[in-house]
Parts: sequence; C-alpha cells; structure tokens
Amino acid sequence: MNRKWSNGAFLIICRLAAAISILTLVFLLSVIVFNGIRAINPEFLLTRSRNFGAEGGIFYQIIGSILLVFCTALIGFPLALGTAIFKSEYLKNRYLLKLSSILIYGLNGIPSIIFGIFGLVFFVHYLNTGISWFVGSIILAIMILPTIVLASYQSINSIPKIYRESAQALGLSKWHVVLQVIIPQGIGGAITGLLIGLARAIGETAPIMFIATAFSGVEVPSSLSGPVTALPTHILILSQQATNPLALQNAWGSSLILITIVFIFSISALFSRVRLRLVSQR
Amino acid sequence: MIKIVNKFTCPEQELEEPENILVEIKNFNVWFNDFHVLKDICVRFREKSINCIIGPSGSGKSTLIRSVNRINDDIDGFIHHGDVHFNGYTRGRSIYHKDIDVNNLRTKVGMVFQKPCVFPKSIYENTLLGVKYLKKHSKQEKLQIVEENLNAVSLWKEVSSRLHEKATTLSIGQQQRLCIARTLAVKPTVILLDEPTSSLDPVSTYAIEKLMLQLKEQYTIIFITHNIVQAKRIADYLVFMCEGQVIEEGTKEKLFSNPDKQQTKDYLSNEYCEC
Ligand SMILES: Nc1ncnc2c1ncn2[C@@H]1O[C@H](COP(=O)(O)OP(=O)(O)OP(=O)(O)O)[C@@H](O)[C@H]1O
Ligand SMILES: [Mg+2]
Repeated sequence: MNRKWSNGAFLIICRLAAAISILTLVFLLSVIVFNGIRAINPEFLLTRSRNFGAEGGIFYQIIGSILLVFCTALIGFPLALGTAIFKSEYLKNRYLLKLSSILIYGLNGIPSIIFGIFGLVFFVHYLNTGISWFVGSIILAIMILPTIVLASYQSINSIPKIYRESAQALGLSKWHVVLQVIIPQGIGGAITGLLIGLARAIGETAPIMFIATAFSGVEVPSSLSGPVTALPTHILILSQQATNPLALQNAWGSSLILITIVFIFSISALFSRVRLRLVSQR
Repeated sequence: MIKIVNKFTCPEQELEEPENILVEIKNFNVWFNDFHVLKDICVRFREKSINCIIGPSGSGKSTLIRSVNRINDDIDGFIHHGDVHFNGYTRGRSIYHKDIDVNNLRTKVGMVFQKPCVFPKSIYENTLLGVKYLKKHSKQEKLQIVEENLNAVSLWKEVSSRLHEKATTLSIGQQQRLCIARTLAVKPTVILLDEPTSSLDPVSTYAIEKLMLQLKEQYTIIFITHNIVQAKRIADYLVFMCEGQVIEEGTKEKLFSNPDKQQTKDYLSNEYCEC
C-alpha cells in the first residue's frame, strides 16, 4: 500500500516536472514565433539594416553569423578531432588521461564572457589584431572545443578493440589504423559534437561583442581582420532601443531567425546521431 | 616487475626433420600485470602444415598465438620474457628484438580472429585493406588481387557481382572467409587462427576446414580450436595446453593414439583436464 502510494506520487512529480519544462519551452517559442513572424518578409531577410537596425533587414547579420560559425567549424573541428584521437589512441599514461579530462571539463565550464575578455586582452590588445571577425571565430572555436572533443572521444573510444587489432594484424601502422578505422568510424560522433557546438556558438554574444563585431554599417569583410555584424549582437543593440516599436519588432524577427538556425543545427546533430546508430547496429 | 621464475630451458628434442620448424617458441613467459599467464612455453610449429592448439578455456591459447604476431604488445600490463623465433625471417633473433619492424612482421604472420570483424567498407576495400600500403597497384592489379584472394576462399562466385556493397551485408560465414581472404592478400607465411569457426554454422565451418586443408600446401597454419573432433579432422600436429603450460605436443596420430601424458589422454578422450 505504502509503496504503491509512493510510486504514484513519484510518477505525478515526474509528469509535473516534464509538463512544466515543456510548457515553458512552448510558451517561449510561441512568444518568439508570434512576435517575430510579423517582422519577417523577403525584404527583412534580403536587405541591409538602416537606422541602427530599426529599419531595413538583417541580411549582413545573417551572413556575418554564418561566416563566423563556418570558420569556427574549420578551426575547431580538426583541432578537436586531433585531440580526441591523441587522447584515445596515443595517450596511455593513466594520470595524463585523467589530467586531460579535467582540463577539457574545466574549459567547458568557463563562462563565455571570460572568453570574450581573453580575446580582447590577448588578441585585440596584446597581438594588436584590432577588432577582427576571424579572432571571433578563433575564440568561438576554443569555446566549443570541449564539446567536440568529448563527443569525438566518446565515439572513437567506443570502437571495439577488435577493429584496431584486425587492422594492425594486417600490418597497418598505427597511423594507418587511425586513417582507415578510427576516423571513418568515429567521424559521425565528431560531427554530432560539432553541430551541437555550433548551435551554441552561433547564439553567443559575450565572446564576440568586444572583439569581432560592429553594431552596424558593416558588410562582408574582405580580409581576416575587420568586424562583421552578427545576429546575437544585433538583437542586443535592437533591444536597447526598445522604446522604438519598429526596433523591437526587428529584434523579435532577428530572434526568430537565430532560433531557426540553431534549430537547424540541433536537428542535424540529432539526425547525424540517429544515422550513426543505425550504421553501428548493422 | 619481471619475475624470472627459474632457469628453465627447453629440453632438446630429437627431431626427425629439424628443417621443418618455422616458428620456435623458447622459454616464453607472459604476465598480465602480475598474473602469470604463460609459463615457460617451449613449442615448435611446423612449416606448411596445420598446427592445432587445444586446451581448456583460460589455458592461454589465445595469449600464445597473439604473442606470435605481437598483437599483445598494446595490451595494458603485458609483460613477456623469452624468445619467439621465426625462422628465415628474423635470422636468429627473437621477434621481440628491438630491431624488428612490427608492422612488417605482421604482414608475414597474419591473423584471423574468433568473431569475424569486417570493416564498414565495401567488400572490395576490405580485401585490399592490408595490401594498399605495401605497394602502389594499378586498378587492374587491385581487381586481380581481389579476385585471386576471394577465389582462394571460394567467395568470388558468391560476391563478384556485389564487390562494392558493404561487407557488413555478408553472412557471418562469408564475413569470416572475407577475413581470411584479406589476410591472404598480404601474402603471409604463417596464418594464426583463433577459434575461427566457433561462431559459425556447420556448413561454414566445413567450408573453412576444407579451406585450411588447401591452404596448408602454401602456408603454415596455427589453429586454435575448442573442438577436439575438429582437431582430429584437420590437424597434422597438436599442441595441448593447460593452465599456461604446454603439456604435450606431437603429431596428431601420436597424441590421439598413444600420448605420453595422462592429462593429454584424459582431455582428448573426454575433454576433462586436471593439470
Ligand atoms: N588483457 C588481459 N588482461 C588480463 N588478463 C588476461 C588478458 N587476456 C587474457 N587474460 C587472462 O589470461 C588467461 C589466458 O587467457 P587466454 O585468452 O589466452 O585463454 P584461452 O586459452 O584462449 O581461453 P579460451 O579458450 O576461453 O579462448 C586467462 O586467465 C585470462 O583471464
Ligand atoms: Mg581464446
């Protein structure tokens, strides 16, 4: 009787918790969609912003954000994959393994504003790069490195030992085993990690606002230096003009676009994961 | 960490044909951390014949043959002591000598595992996996290598029309034959097989046994089996292991009809062993 009662209570609590989280999410999303959809039209998507964003569109903000995360991926992915391969295949010392895990988790726990300050002090001032979108990509890449490393490491480390041994037994050197076995079978997990990381990176304001972005009047940069405009920092500046209803509406519209892009990354991560699981089950 | 147990040396056995020996293991000991798995192993494997290793589970059969291609090297806590000679290849040195190129050694000593392990690549790529790093081949040559080796394991007829399909779509028995084919493609001298038929159905098992009888014309085969009847069918020489020691070795005829040791007799007649 007693056990039955506590089981029932537990079930109710779980359901309640699930309902609250889902309702919050649905509420948030519907507010953004409801307010944002009014701002969205072809002109909004395809023209440049005017009057500090209160008028015009967000074309260069979208381009800027995509450029930022594209380079973030180019920098972060090889670094992370290499780190994961090294940790899984070459690092044998138990203490160093432990230490590397601590470092990776530690890096993951650093608040994003710290990355922004680091970029400002180290790159912009010390290395004298000036405000540069490329520095922004580097900082974002460092920020999402742990996410990609952890996902890649997990998928590489779960490749059964028999695959490594079978390849080695054919005379393949360690490096060839990595090329032929480890990378092809681990890349799916690494890509999942990359997409999750990018979904986070594209929405970040703090790491890039001091070092990589300008608030308006910028088009596509022609070199590695120079600022871009990006969606999250654009939303920030628009919400500071909240007394202007036009600016507010554009802020909602930009939020909707940003969330859509994040959503696309997350869904692709999910799909790459499902596909990965199907492949490994065969 | 290394504990040299005693100054044991292998007894000099009188041999009818000493030139017949290809792999010679002398005073070989293995520990996994401080667990003594192989104890003063002295054993010889004969050229161009099927050398079967039998013995109860946990007796160290796998550990022994995995020491012959040094695939144990990467295992955590693996410690070895003693020599493994590979006549005609290592010129009097042990394969554990520091100048031996392990990857090259493994192209001479191929290995097939208990559970077939094909890579999630095409059948064609699986067959060529070990070959493509040895030498540059033209497309024509590659196809020829694939055909030749798949033919050697009687797989060519079954798969020639679907070479570019994933190898994982093959049946388990076919996968194991593909594993043998890709080992043959590297042109080894010795082939180690660790219970290659224990996860297969009787028909596939029969196919592999038949294949072994053909392959021994060209290769030296070291074959672990749990199945005494199988050993009786295919072995030329038998090695009986128990608790990390070689109890007895000799021709199949001798061990089955007139073994020196009582334990051998017990194991071969009713798979019972008390060592
Ligand atoms: N990687 C390892 N680490 C620690 N101990 C091991 C390892 N591999 C094998 N052993 C131990 O070594 C002993 C011999 O194992 P091995 O696999 O060689 O036996 P086997 O004769 O092949 O048995 P089976 O017939 O069940 O395959 C066993 O007691 C096993 O527990
Ligand atoms: Mg075994």
